[in-house]
Amino acid sequence: MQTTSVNQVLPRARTKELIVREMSDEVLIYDTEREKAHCLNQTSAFVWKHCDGKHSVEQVAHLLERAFGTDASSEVVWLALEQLEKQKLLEESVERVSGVARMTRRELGRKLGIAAAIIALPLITSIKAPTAMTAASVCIPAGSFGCVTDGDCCAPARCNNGTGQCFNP
Amino acid sequence: MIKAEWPDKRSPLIASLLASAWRPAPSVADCSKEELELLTPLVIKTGAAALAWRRVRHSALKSSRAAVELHAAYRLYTLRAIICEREVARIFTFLRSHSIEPILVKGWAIARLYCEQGLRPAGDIDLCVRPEHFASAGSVLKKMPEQYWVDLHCGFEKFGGGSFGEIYERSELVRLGEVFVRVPCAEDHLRVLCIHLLREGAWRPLWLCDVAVAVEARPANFDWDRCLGKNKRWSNWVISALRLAHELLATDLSGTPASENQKPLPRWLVRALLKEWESLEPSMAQRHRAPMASYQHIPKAFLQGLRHRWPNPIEATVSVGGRFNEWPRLPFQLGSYLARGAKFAVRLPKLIREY
Repeated sequence: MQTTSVNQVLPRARTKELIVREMSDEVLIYDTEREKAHCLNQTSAFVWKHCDGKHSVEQVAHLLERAFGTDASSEVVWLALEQLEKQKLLEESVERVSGVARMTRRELGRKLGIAAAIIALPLITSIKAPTAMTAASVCIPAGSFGCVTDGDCCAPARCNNGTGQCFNP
Repeated sequence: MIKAEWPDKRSPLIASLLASAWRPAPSVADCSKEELELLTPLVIKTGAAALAWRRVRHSALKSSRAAVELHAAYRLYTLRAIICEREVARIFTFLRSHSIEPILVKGWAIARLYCEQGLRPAGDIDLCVRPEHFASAGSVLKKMPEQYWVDLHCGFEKFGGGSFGEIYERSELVRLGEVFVRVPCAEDHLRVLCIHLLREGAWRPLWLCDVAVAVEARPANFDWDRCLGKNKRWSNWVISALRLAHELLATDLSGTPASENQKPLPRWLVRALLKEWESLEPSMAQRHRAPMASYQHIPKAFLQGLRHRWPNPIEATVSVGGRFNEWPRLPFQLGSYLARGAKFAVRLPKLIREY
């Protein structure tokens, strides 16, 4: 996280070891380092894309307002940043500047009222890791790679969690 | 049509749900919330969830629990598709650095023809190599710094045969990022997809969708003589697969030899396919769970294994080199079962030592 001379937070999105796919109304991210997949709704994705180390939280909030044509307080951006940080999608952790209270999604929704109906509150959902097995409908034979659990391998083979190889015990 | 003929089954509903789902703007699925809930586990299990999602995403059912599951599967397949593309590119680069040029079949080779990335999930990576390179290709793949689920094939034997050299000569290089991936020409690939579908007993609806996509996306100069070959059995198999795709999934066969063939499909063929689609765990899938030799000390499992290995009429026909016609299938099934049993008996002592 960078800060300016007036102590503005300049968050930076993590880009390394990530596979990103932009869909029509959401962004899918697969963290190859942690083997975790996430789905960012439009608001979270907007904030994440503008975390370039140059825009402050207030500036991102302003851009968000312009993009969605509604009032979006910097609280929305903060909520998105907290979620992005929790999922390790930011380069560095973000700390709220003093005087900005932490709010839950529900509290923020209530506070924003109608604006929250127009601009979706930030939401990041975790999805199952897209292993080869998720796309296959049969088990992985012994000697082949791609397993995560023993159940992925054809019996009696078991899964070596380190290498992802099915092996005969 | 199929749905009305088989009112009490799930498989005709699957056919109806997947019909035309691969097209750029498919119509909204005509199914109830209850039907969608019934079908969702089946389409997720067989890799057709993203296609099913395409038929419901603009419908009133899009927020239903079942549709949410289909949507989640679609997201998953989309990410998996990106990962699979990287894997394919790395494997081709690595094999080429060892002077081995493989041909990719199924998987990404057909997924690239779907109108959206992620509609067609890819599990393993099927690579055909020259028979003389088969052993060395296996060794080279084991040396890769990262290991992937590769299904290496010795030539095209598993896909109905044909000279590797001839298929290679006609193959195409397709750009995948920084790498060019070798895939069979459209004619050879359609034949491979059709024969693979039938050889595996057609138990995955996704494979019939692959056939549908390959035929509808064929280039204008598609050479049917090359696809069907001089082998009359190939011709019978390919045309049967195409007509199944038409009958079950409303595939457009205009301008194909299959549209000129007016003889109805053998009724047992559609029945056998629908029976396979009916189950979450069809015999063909269960068969892959464990080799027979692993059951040697578990008599009950051994008997179950024997039962799962009874071939369905579709795979039995291909396995013994038969034709799809109105003749009874029992002799084909018996022949196929005995031939496989004999092969198993020959390998048994070695297998027992291994397990």
